[in-house]
Amino acid sequence: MDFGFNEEQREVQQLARKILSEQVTPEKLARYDEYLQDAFDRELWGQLAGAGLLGVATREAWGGMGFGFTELALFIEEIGRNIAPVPAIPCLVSAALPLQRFGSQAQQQRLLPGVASGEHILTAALMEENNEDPAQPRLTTAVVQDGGWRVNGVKWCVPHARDAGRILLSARVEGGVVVLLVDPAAAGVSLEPMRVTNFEPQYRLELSDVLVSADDVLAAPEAGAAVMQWLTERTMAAVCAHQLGLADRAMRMTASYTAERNQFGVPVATFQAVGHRAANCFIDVESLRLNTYQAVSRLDSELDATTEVLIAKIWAGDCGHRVSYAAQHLHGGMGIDRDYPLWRFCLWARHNEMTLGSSARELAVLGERIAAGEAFCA
Amino acid sequence: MRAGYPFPFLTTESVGPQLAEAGNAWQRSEIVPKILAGDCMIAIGYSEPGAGTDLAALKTSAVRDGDGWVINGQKMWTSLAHFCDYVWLAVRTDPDAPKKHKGISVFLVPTSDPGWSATRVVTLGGVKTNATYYDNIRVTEKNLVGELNGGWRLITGQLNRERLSLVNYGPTAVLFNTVVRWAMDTQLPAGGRVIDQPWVQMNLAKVRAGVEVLKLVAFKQAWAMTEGTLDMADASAAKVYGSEYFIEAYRALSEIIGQASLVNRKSEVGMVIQGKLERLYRTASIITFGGGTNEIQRDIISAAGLWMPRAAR
Repeated sequence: MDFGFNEEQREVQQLARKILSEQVTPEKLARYDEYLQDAFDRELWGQLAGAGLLGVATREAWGGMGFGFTELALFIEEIGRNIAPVPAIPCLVSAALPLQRFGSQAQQQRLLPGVASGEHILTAALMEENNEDPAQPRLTTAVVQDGGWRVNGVKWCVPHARDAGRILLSARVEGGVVVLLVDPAAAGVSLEPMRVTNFEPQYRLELSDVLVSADDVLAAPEAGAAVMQWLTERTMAAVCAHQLGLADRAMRMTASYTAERNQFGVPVATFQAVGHRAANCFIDVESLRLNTYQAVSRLDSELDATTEVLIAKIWAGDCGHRVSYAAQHLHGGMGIDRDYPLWRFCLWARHNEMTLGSSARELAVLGERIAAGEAFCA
Repeated sequence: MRAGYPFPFLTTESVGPQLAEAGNAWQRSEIVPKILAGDCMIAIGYSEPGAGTDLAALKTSAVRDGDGWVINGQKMWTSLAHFCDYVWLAVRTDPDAPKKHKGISVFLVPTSDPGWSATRVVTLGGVKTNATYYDNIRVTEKNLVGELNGGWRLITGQLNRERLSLVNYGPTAVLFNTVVRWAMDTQLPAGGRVIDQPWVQMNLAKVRAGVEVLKLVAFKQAWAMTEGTLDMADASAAKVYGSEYFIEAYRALSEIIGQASLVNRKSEVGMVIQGKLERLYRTASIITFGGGTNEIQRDIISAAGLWMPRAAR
């Protein structure tokens, strides 16, 4: 097992870290608080495209760098470290990756170069009311019409749906699940803003007899569930990488703050109770890091990673919860003061924790796999 | 370790490599090959009645006498000493050193010396350890490991390796799999299998998610040692995580088996999975403070891993 990153991977990491740490400032982030405006920094998105990062995992033929999922995850980790207001996970992971893996040549040519260049974005609708398994849609159905599909149903919490050229989603059909690319401007599509804890632009998407042509079908009924599982596992791993970046940052912010904050004439970091709570965060963050990159590297190699992804997501939920509360607590009042940058990290930690399965649900799923003899230790 | 063989890992994984690195000609040519051949075992003598976590306060002394030294003092928790050929002994060689950890040296002291003796100490779990006594034991240059008064670096190096040896994945993986198979194969009198119960699946899932970290931490440390990049904060994090995880995992797995998990291997009836869990859960309490108490490990993590200032001691 190799725990190091190679030179190219470190370069991607450094490039992303440099741009994001310079460009994402508390002042800029404040523009999006309370939905003052849509949290999408298009100037930053353009800079990331210019540096080649939006196409880091896109084939060179479509204007990308041609690297794999590991490099993309390293980029996402840096997005998390800076909680950059850009749709990196929905666009680059949930939509562009499966398009490149399962899409026709024509679909790829039509949609992927624009993603890499930053010209347009894509997104994915992965959640329904009381149903967080994207491979088993319950509330969205489709029937065959004119060689394509007529779709009805409702999705919740669709990120950046208004800005997307296409929304990837799954629908239940006779004989399986189809994966479709829906144009948000198509007749019968309605988007209603949802207001959420971290101010991410999210929408309730309603589909009323929406016609999707054959050109926009990504997977046929017999293949759709597997395609959704494929992209869900990658999205979960990306959420873990995002959580890792932001938890690491919140922890280090806390270490610096407590080293400088004096009470009783000494830095509060010198109190053992403070140091030990920070040490617990260090162990949590390291646990999340190891599990995240184990899952990422297995996915990158197209190995079975269902158990590893579940475990990483459990750690992302638990680590995010514990680190965000420890960071806030050790900052005292500063941790909740909106003039100090920590609070946004804490809200994003909650978003990642609850996205695509909380720790409790993933533990239950893992438990079922264990009972079925599918998750023995190696 | 997976087979459950009581392997003397402190000799082979911590003292052995330290001797191979820092030992003198005799230690390298005589002792190291014997360790490799399984013909030599070495106990560790650090703690004293008045020096535990504050190890540098140790009082056992080696006083210059002609071309050698004379050792006097007492050590606590000298585990396996009654099986061992030598004790890797930390002693004070410079009582006037300005910093107390700079006056400490390490000697290999033969347990065959007439001045050496041991008395048994029985612990909660039934595991036996020793208090050991050093009465005018004469040693020479041959027995000194590394530099005179340079023992602290050897002690911390040995402890780093010891902490990692404590966190081993294999036996826990075997234990988890054993309990899963037992729960799959065991029918409940009321119908259904043990593993069909949601709370059993939840306990197993928690243990499974935790053991994955144990595996990755252990493998990463092995990789870091090979690369020569072993990080102090990582070693301490591994020790804290592993020692606290073991206790939680044994508890969660014992809960699944229930009261029968407490039937031990000496019982003629009622033993489940060879009484393994009974023994592990009974004896696990040592690891959170053995090998350097977890409070000190957390101090190391916040200072070396997060650059937080430490209180003066």
